[in-house]
Amino acid sequence: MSHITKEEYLSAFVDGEAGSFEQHRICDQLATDEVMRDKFSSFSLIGEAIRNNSQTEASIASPSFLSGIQDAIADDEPVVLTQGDSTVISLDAAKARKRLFPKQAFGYAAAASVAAVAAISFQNYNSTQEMSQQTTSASLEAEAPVNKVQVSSIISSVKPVKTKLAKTAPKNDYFITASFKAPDAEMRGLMNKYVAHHLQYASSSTLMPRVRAVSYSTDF
Amino acid sequence: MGGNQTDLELVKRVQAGDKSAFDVLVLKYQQKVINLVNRYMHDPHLSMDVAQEAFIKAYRGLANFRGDSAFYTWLYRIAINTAKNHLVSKNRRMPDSDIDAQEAEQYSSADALREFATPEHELLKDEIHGTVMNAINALPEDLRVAITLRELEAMSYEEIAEAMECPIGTVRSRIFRAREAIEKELKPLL
Repeated sequence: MSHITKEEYLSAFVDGEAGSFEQHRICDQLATDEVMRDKFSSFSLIGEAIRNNSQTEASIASPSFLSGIQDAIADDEPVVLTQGDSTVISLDAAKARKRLFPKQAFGYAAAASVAAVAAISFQNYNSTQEMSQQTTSASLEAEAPVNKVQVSSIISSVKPVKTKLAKTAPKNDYFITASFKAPDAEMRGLMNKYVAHHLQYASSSTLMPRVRAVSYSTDF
Repeated sequence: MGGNQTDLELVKRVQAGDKSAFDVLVLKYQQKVINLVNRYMHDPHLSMDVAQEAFIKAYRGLANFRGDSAFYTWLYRIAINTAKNHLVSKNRRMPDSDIDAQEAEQYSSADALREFATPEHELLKDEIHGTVMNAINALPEDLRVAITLRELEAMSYEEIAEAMECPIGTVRSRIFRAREAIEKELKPLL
């Protein structure tokens, strides 16, 4: 599998073709990476130059153009949505919302049915598991009874591996240099969508898992 | 997914208090807004100032932007109004042919620009034009076709993949490599 560079994703981002997840990552990158910003600016200019190659002289913004705007808004409070506006919605979503109700009602009904079937299956599965576990542990106890004091002393002697690794790993180790970002609600949704997409190829006899994302890498 | 979705993502970030996301929107639309304002001002330097003012107004108005129209349409409307207000405040005549924000995206300002192009501008224009055309002509055919279909025909990656009978990933890679090659030639001029 070929590795796609962040510059290639940036090029797709310019065209609005990066995909939700990568779009999120590129936005994070652009917020901090000057080189990426320059590249973004160049790619946008190339597009303008190709489309309007006979009048590009007026379209070249000086480098101070952005800094002038940055200075002007430096003292402004960060933009916060006015009350009543929960979030920006896309035009398609606005249109879709008008005809959502019947679909929504049907969707809720279908989801409730699926949830009920899943809960029953899960209970059945659990009770079967518990029964088999009870049987197994009962037979094990009968064969070799475990000394509880011995077990607890073994457990207390085990040190957490994570702490040890963090102390011994070299400073340039990937896990130390890689930067991670705590996901917001949107990113969690994207990750769940990603998993759901990939599940279409997985076995249908199991319950659908859900990602609980702690962080995601902002490195490419 | 189109450029609209990218804009929405950036707008959402600005509305969540991330000022740097607005920088990306400025970088994306600065040339288009300057060109548009130029149509009214007939002065490249003044156009820069008015375009900056338009972006500042847009930033301050983003709290009220709910995405009922595309971001660029909204931005172009602000730019047009800012240019008009500037002309009124200077008691200058409005341009004969008016344009609205919907048309602005396709607007070509070449004729208007010819009227006040300075020798330096003419030289730079010729250089950029020549460099871009030479760079495109020097590209291998598959890269040249991909970038042309994207930039001139505004085709989506999916449409280009269909037209060129190749996977979308290949299209993305070809367009990127074409841009890299053109940028390499263009960089000394910028």
